[in-house]
Amino acid sequence: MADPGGGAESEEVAEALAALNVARGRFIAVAGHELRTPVTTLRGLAEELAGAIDPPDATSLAELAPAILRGARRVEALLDDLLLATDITTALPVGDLEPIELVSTAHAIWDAMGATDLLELTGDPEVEAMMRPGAADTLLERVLDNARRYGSPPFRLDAQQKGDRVHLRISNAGAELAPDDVGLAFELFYRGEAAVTSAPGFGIGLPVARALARQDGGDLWIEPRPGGGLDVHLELPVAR
Amino acid sequence: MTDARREGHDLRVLIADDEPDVRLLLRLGLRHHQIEVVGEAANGLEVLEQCAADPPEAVVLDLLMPRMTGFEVIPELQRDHPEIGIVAYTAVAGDFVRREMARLQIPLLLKRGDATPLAEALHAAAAQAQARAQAQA
Repeated sequence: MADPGGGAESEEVAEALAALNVARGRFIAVAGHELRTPVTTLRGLAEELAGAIDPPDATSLAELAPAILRGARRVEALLDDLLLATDITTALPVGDLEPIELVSTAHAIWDAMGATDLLELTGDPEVEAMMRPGAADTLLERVLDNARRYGSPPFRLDAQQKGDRVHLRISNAGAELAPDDVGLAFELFYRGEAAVTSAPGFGIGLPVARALARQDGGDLWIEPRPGGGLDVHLELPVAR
Repeated sequence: MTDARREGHDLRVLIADDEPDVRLLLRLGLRHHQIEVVGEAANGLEVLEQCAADPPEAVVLDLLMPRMTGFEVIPELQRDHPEIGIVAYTAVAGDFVRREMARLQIPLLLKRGDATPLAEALHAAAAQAQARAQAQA
């Protein structure tokens, strides 16, 4: 039976389904790509370990075990990310909010990544925000990793307390972002044109970081820098 | 039977991939196939530098690398080092990648745990590149 009032609604449903289909396509493409490398590596390294062709020598053995462990951890991290990105609450960090020193945490993560470029600090190095410790580590790792992968020096960290909020700005120089990239940066599984051709990734770093910030009462957003590069802004409740 | 095998020496290969563990896997896996890995590169710029300093007979080329991609490396190598065989090696290949590699006449392999197909492709690409370079000379 014809429904004269249902046309607009049907159109909205069709648009929503089309958007879902696009997101589904993106997800399959990036998940396939990102899982392929560690799974391939794990299989090949395990075959080497098993001596499928020749038994591995001592030098090879010493390299194989840590590489297999790294591959397994990478798959585990990818699965954690996927669960987190799809908002499955079991994958979100649990535990109580705690005062977190964001600047020292960021520097520790930066060093642990093996970054050789300096992360320059301005503002107040002792600001503390309320957050779950696991969430703070993951969030900062995502944002800093994003800066390193797609940006270039100088890398800067500015920390300020503004009333009952802590504001952190993480900046990098680099290429100018395409307008589409700015608008879609928080879309799950979206990867900008430059990102697709320069470094692997799931396209979930910023969406995950934002989800973690919002879970603990904060927010996260980005602003392209004039002339190229990016500012990532993080706001969280200040620790009392 | 390709040139390197017929001549009884190991094929000299450069591995280009930004993933250290992929390079480790290839280094270990290719040694069973009369291939000597003579260098490793983590991005396209390092590929060009190493090919200029000590040209290998073939290159395993990951396509998505930082600083300079495999897509950007291929035309430079084809122009400056036609004697080097190139095999594109990628995690997944959509229509764009397949079309580009076909246009550039570069064999394309998907990353797999078994190094045998890659080794075969490297020997074949090196032999073809050498024949092409000799014909041009």
